[in-house]
Amino acid sequence: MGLGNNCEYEQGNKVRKVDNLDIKILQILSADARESLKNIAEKCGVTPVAALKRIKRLKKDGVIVGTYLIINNEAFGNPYEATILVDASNTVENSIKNSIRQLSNVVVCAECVGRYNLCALIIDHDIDSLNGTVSKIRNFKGVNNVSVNIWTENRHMDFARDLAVMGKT
Amino acid sequence: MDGIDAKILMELMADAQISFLEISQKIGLSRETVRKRFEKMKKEGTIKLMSILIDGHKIGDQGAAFLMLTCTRGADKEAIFQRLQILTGVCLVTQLRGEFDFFVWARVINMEQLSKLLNGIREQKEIDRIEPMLLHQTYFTFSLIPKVAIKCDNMDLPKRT
Repeated sequence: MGLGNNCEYEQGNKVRKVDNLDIKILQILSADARESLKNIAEKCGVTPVAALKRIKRLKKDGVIVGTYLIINNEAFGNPYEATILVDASNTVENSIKNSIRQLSNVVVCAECVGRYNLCALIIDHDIDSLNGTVSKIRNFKGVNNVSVNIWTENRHMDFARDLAVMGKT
Repeated sequence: MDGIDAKILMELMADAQISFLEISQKIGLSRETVRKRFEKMKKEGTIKLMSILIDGHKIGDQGAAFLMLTCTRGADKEAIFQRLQILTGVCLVTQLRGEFDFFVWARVINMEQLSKLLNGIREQKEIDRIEPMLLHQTYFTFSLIPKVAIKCDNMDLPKRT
């Protein structure tokens, strides 16, 4: 595993080095957050007690900040997913961001630097509802331009693969 | 998919690592029923992925980027889709219908890696436009009714609102 030799973070007044065991555990849990302790320990070549201790530390230190579920949205009758890009005036960017976040079908809303300054991922159950959400965003004061891009079934997701590629070397 | 499945899913959305026993106590069913329902939803693909959110800054990332790409007319989008997936740092790729053709969610480990990634995309002749957007704050929810808000830059702990 190509781990940078200097990746560390400050926790309180201690400096913690991220080691191979940390990365291995993060990769296993990213692939399946419910993986059993026994299996994790086996894959990492440590005892279950050692693995549990490390997982607890990763959580306590805030390396693992939470869990998430990706579900088949169609099971809930929500087949429309879209990336909405918003170009808004800087002066009202914050209030627009908050208004977008209040919309119930917004999954992710991010402030960004680039051609657009806000990006939202939304899920809607039909095209009319999606249209309604987009109209609401268009009508927020200070919104100059909105780009709507609907996701197709062609999608790939893997948040764990490159975890071992570290930045600070 | 019924009310019981939905209840179990809601509990899992709040905490994917919650024990079956805890779910069963919360929704008033036996542990065995919860386990069976869970296995069924996993088998049928209702639950696609259960994962953890990692504070990228703690493991050395400088941030994240959303990239919007468009292709030239007549481009082989399937082939581009396959090639985008294997670039280092790419977490999510979706093909789009709309102004852009692809949406890419990438980790920004450092500026050098970001440049490499952008160059890797530019090398593909059939992509004629890249709109990179660097994130400075993200709110993740990944649930039906957004409940968990996480800040990307300081990565606050998940808050239930």
